[in-house]
Amino acid sequence: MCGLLTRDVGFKHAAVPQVDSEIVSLFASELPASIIVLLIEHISIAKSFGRVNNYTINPSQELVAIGVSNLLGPFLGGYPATGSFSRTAIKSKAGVRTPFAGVITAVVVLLAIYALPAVFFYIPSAVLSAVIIHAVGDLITPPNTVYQFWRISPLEVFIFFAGVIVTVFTTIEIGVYVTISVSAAVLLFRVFKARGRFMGRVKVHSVVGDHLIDEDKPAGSNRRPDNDPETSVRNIFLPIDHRDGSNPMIEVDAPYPGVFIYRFSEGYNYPNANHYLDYMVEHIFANTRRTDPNAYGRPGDRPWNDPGPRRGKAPKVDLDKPTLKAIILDFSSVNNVDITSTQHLIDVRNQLDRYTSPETVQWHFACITNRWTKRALAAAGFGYPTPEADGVISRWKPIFSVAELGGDSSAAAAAEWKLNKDELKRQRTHDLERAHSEGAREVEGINTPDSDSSRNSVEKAIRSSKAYKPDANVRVAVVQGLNRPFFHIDLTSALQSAIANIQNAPRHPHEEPNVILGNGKSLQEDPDPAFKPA
Amino acid sequence: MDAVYADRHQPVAVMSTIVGNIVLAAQKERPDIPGHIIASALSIIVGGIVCFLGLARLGWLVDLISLTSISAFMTGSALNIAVGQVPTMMGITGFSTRDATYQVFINILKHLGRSDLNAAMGLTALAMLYIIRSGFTFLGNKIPKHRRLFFFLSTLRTVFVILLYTLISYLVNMHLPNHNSKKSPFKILGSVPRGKSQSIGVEPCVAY
Repeated sequence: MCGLLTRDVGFKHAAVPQVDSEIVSLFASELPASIIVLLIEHISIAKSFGRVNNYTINPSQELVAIGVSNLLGPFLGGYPATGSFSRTAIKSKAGVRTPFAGVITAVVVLLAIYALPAVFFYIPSAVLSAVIIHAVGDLITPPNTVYQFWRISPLEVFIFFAGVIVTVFTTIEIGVYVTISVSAAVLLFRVFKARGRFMGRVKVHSVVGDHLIDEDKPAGSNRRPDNDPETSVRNIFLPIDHRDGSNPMIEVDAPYPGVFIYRFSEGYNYPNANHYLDYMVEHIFANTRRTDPNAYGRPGDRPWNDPGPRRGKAPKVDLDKPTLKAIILDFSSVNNVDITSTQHLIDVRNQLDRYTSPETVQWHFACITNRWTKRALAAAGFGYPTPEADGVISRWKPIFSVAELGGDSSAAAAAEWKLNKDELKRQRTHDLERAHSEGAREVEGINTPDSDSSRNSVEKAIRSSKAYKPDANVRVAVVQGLNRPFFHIDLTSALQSAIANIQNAPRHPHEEPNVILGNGKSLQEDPDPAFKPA
Repeated sequence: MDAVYADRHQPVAVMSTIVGNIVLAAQKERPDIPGHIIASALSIIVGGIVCFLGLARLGWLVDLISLTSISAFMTGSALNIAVGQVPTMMGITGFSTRDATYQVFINILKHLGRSDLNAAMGLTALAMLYIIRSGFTFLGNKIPKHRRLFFFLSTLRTVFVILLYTLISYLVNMHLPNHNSKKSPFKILGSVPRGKSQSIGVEPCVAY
């Protein structure tokens, strides 16, 4: 919007400027600061005034304008120029609408340079300084604005003051660098240290005015979908620790004993994959008990940092805590995953499968909207029920892991083989009629799925089920593909699927048969009286 | 017509300060190269880089500069420039105004007693500018019908103040022997060669 001006540095030095490397080397270190200042001055003016006047700025175009004017200026003896705040402000209020005003400006300045030096002779310097101070005083950010900063984002107030103080105590250039790098650091910190949240389920009724929405409907009315705006009762999911500011008096329960819902808060990529999953695993370990406390065959097998029971006593089992059955991951804020983060998921899956052995953990995913993410997770082996291992410990094939270097002769394969050797020996002495597989079995995650028989049986089960046969009266269509049943559309369907799978799973002899709930019934008889799958 | 007035009152762009700093630093190292050559070279290099960024559609890089950075930068450099101009306004001499801002500020306070007639011109001019502006804003609020008129009159305050003080200065210095600006009781601009250039080393206020 502001054109080039050759300032009072008239035309005596209109010539081809010399640019050689020794001159350039004199100021090469100051170049980044100069460029940044140039850009800041011009673009911030252009953007804010563009908004005032309904004019969108294409920054690249503006950059070309600044660049060209600075390239051509020296040929006429000018020096680096850029837009200026008050000039633009005044022109905007004057009703200037096109860049042609810059031409008028330039013409007037040229006239001034030529016609008025006699007047300039008498101008007192003190008055000029006063004018400059007056003009510049407006640029200082007023305290009101700083208070607004505080209300929106308190962290940035500190960045702002750091920038101002650094500029006052050192030079402008260093101040610019400090503010930009601290802003970038805050951005990265948010991504790296992102922490997910565990969600619980709450039943809500919608209220309009002073009555529930469907209070006056007759009891036997048509079945309506669960989150139809016209029904009043539905399930929502809130963070269990009420950290989002929800009413702490509302009891947000764990959705089902042994089922955990974990929501990622800032995308799931390599910088924060570890951090997210560490927190998740720590929380799960704190709130569940090992499925089989005798999982360690020999004392030497227990990891060195797990203290274990005192010698001679039975292992301490906290019967209040449920065993881990399923994990539901809410992917609503995740757009892309990458190899590192997917590998971490596989590692945690293996770790938790060992924790819950001989059972396996079911992994459900909700709200995945990006097809590439689905593809990545499917390739890693997620999306369908974990086949029951029948006592054989198998590990999910990793994408890349240092322990796996060497394929079948790797350290991880050797560890697994050894574990299975002991386990099979134990099984053969106990149960001679078992006809199932022998030897270590790797569940293929990456390679073609057709070899896995249990997965095929799941697909067959889906195809032959009655749920998907079209009803004569009602048209139904399947929203997403049926071959990955554990990729759900939303949390409610993920939760329903998880609970259905748990209730249909075969019982295991290791489970304590006498876990008695508060209402006098045992866990097996009455899993969760509050929840009825739809 | 208003657009014409607009260009008379440009404040100092921060860019001029930076260019001034760079040129002075370069001249310290290589006194033989005149300042304007360095400034021209700087302008070409910077222009080339920025032009390339624009042509390569890398304009979105500007989005990396957050609003916090921009306002901290504007505040800091405004303080820098303002504090740098106070010595000239008050007529205090004897130290460089290109040091770090806090040093200049301390020096100002130390030598405050040395202000002379310049302070009379400078401080009154500053006061007049602020009074005129707040006066017109008040009037604009009181009589909304003429708000636009008052705004433009307020814009003219800078020209008015400068012309007023130039007149005063003219009346005082009308009969200077040899038209020598150094003999004036307060510092005046002196001769600006008609259409010719001045070296870049001069204070940024010349850019006005």
